[in-house]
Amino acid sequence: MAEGEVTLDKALERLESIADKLEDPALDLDEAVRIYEEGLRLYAECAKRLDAADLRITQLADALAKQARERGAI
Amino acid sequence: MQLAERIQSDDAFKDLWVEGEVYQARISPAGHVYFTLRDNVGQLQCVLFATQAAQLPLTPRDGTKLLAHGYVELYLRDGRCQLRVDDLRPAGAGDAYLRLEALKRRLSQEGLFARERKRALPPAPRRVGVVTSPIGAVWRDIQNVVARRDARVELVLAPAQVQGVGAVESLIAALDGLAQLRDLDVVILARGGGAAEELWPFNDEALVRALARFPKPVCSGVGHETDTTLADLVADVRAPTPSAAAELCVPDAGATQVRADRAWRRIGARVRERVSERRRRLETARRLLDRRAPAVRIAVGRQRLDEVRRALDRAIGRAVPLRRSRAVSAQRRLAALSPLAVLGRGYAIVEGADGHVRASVAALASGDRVRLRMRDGRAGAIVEKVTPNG
Repeated sequence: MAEGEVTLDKALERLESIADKLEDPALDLDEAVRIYEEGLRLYAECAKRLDAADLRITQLADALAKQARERGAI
Repeated sequence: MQLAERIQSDDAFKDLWVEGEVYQARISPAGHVYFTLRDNVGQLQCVLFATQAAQLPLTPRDGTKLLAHGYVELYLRDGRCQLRVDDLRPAGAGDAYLRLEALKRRLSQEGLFARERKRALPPAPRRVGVVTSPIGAVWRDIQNVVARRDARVELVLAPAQVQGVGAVESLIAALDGLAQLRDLDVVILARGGGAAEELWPFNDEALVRALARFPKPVCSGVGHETDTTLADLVADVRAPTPSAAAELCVPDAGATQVRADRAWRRIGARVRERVSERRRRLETARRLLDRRAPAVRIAVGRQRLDEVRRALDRAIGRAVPLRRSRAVSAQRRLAALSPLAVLGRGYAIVEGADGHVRASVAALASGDRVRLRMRDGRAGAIVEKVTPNG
């Protein structure tokens, strides 16, 4: 994660607070559109990061399994 | 009482070797042996309890010379000191044992056996040096143990003579040889069990110092579990036997691998759990976002707009016919009021030559040319005479 970038958890919290805000019927439509757009952007960002984390974990597990096989082969 | 505690807690009265001739030895019904050790300057009461007596090859008999090991305690009932004996050796070996004790004390004071000097064994050794006899069971046992525990570990044998004349020099030369090797992780100094005298080289000061300055950790496995040599004391780790030394130095690769794999799986499960927990939150937020999206608001707005539009359409739809009918009725009314309509009933309209209607005779004079507009046409006429009403 680049420095200065918000953490995944922070982004997730922001997304949840946007969902809460959108529930307010008194919310101005322009404001609703604005934060909805932000919410969609946050969703895409979070999903991307979670995918990256999953991939990294899988890669590490594979690397370890490969190492173990090579050790076993000696 | 304080004196007894003082004596029993003072190190100076523990771990003592006392040599003398046995006399007044007697065995109690319980099997305890009471005897006195004396020499040409004095004497000391000794007690050897039955449990210890059963483990010792020697029994104190009057007239024999013995070297007794134990600690001094104050025997309160009689108010005198006695030696609580836990080991006995023939007096002939006495000088050697006393020298050994002196050496041990000296080296200990020098700090050679200090706990702080002990180095930890490497957790995953790759090359292990072994100083022992190339012939005999010890070397073979070590090879077997290491092969079983971790086949990747390379053993480097530095063969040495482990007993007899020249053994000390041979052991030190073997150590020096190993010290030259790079990539050596640990050294095992091993020798099988034997008579106490056979272990003497391992009590030699030169060997102890060679072990102390050895650049890598040293694990000793000399003799049996009950034998403790100075080499054992100076070693970084003391194993009771050569096989045990091999086991201590070489971790079981299988077991280590199993543990590492288990830990890895646990870590993996935790990390995956963290990711999926966030994914669940994310999807929940996404669903809420969709459900509360402005699109819904927009749809609602659009619906209202449509309704207004329809209302407008309806309104405008009614507006035109209404006006149309109003126009028709107005036209009807207009038609009904038209002066021309009167003509149908037999009236005529008089217009002057200028085209204006002459509604009064006052506007006519004899001889005027006029036009008569009738229901179905016009007719020219000339006024003959004008007669106002009256």
